[in-house]
Amino acid sequence: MAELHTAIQLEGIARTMRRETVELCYRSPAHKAHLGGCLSAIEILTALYTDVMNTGIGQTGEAWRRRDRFVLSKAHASLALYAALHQAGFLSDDEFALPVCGEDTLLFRQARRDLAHGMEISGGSLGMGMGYACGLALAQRRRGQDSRVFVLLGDGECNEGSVWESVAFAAYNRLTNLVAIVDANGLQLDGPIEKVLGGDNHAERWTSFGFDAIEAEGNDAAAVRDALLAARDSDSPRPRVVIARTAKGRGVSFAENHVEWHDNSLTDDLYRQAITELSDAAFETRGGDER
Amino acid sequence: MSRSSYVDAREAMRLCSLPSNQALGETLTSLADEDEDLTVVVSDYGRRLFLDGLVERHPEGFVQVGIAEQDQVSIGAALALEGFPVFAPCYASFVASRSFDQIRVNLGMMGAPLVLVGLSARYDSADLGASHCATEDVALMRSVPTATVITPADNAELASAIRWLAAHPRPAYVRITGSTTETCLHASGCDVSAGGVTQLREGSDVALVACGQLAAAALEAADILETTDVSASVTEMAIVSPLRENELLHAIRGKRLVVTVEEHGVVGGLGSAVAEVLSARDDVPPLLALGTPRSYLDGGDVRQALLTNDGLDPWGIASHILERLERSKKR
Repeated sequence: MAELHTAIQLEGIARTMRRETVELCYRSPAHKAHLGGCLSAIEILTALYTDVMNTGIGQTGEAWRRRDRFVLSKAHASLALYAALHQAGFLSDDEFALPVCGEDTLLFRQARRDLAHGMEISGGSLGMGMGYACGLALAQRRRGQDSRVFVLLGDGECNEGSVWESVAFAAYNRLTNLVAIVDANGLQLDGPIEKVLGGDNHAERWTSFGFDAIEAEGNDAAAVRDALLAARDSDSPRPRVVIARTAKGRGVSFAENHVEWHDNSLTDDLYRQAITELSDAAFETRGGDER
Repeated sequence: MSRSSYVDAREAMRLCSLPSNQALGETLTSLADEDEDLTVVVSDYGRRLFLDGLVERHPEGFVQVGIAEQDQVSIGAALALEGFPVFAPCYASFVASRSFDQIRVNLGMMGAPLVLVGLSARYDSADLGASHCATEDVALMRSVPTATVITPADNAELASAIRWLAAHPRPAYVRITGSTTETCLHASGCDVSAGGVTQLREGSDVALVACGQLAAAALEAADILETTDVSASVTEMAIVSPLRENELLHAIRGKRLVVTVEEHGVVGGLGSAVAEVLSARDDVPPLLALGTPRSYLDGGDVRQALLTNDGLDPWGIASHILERLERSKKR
């Protein structure tokens, strides 16, 4: 079994992914992107694609079929997913340099199903990924495969009733090969979630449906990695959810916890400022501690 | 899958003597007996589908999601994209409308080869009121470009369609317009894989094009028209989308009038599909589209009474046609 990454290593990878995500956001048409929800999810994706998932990269045949699967239900974080897929080897440097949107590209503001490049669903319509993940988990069980299925939801997305149909199904059917993750960044388009429909009591809700809930500091890469491993390897008869407490827009000062960066356009100046803040040099200057 | 989509005469007669739900359940169970991967995903409407054998012998092939049609489509789609042949039966009034977003994303954008089966479409459950009458299910499913929409005229055609789709999975919607029927328009056998077009009757003046159980009423209407010296052909088209254009144009060639008949609203169903073909051409007859009225059922009633009220029983269909022919003469 491969050794786990150190906290420093994970933070370095996360920083690179954060930078690459900002670059993709700037490369989007009119420089417009869901920057906030992309940046909050970085450490979750870092952990999944380094130490948690058997991604199947480079495998074929049976080994490929036995890979773990990831469903990005909050598909507006797709630009962050592309950064993770680039790190994991699913997107080559050339593919990662393609335009965002348009013809002849693999990259879109909301990912399209492309299994070879590690994208399970065509996302964009919230509330469906959890159900799809349940179907995937059932399929793995029927095939006798020990593949795990990971699904990432937004906290605003949990307003959707369809999410809870699937949560009930997963719990009732004891889909223990399924790990759900909530990117609990506390903000949705119209404002803080407690001012829209409430629901910040994620652990209470999920456990009442029959899941085990593990809370984690979602922007602490090692902490969320450890929580995901605990969820993955638990021998509980209940499926698990990791409630990752994150900050929307994390790592970029003008975006962090600002509701208007749910989606917005990066000016040239803001782009340069973001890249500067995320540079290794700036990190060193801050004393080498992301926390 | 070894079982072909051909339903022979003996099987056709047997299937047509059963309630549609039983014909469906037995067909799915037989398919599961041949293929362990065959899967049925239900949303709390499984007990009445005669699936006991499937549940008993292939428990993993029966997936219950509860009263949660959106989840039914998401889960069914994932299983289908993972290579399982999947059927998802549900009331027609709920399956297309309740989970249409999941349908357009999974079956449309991702091409999930999931087969939705709409039970008890339009007036079959009309005693339960408008909520249980599907008026727009065909219209919705036709708008999904990847979806094959099939409205079998009898249980033989239903079984053939199910077997065809199990062997050749694709995004699809199969609509059943009756829970009991003694209609058998394919007594000599049928095979939907050949295109689902059945020429029930030849004629020279009017071309009746029908789908679903009302094809039988269209046939009787043609007999009534004969007594008034109007010669009508009757063509049953089970596959409403994609519509078989060549067969349609062949059926209507040289006729004074084309009449579509369906147990569905005229907006978006067979009538619209035919209108779309005709509107692109100059050399075609005018169209009379007969279907259920553009309104929701007020209250509730039994199917036959409602069909008669809508002019969709044989006498009603014949009257509509004669009235239209009369109007054309006056111009």
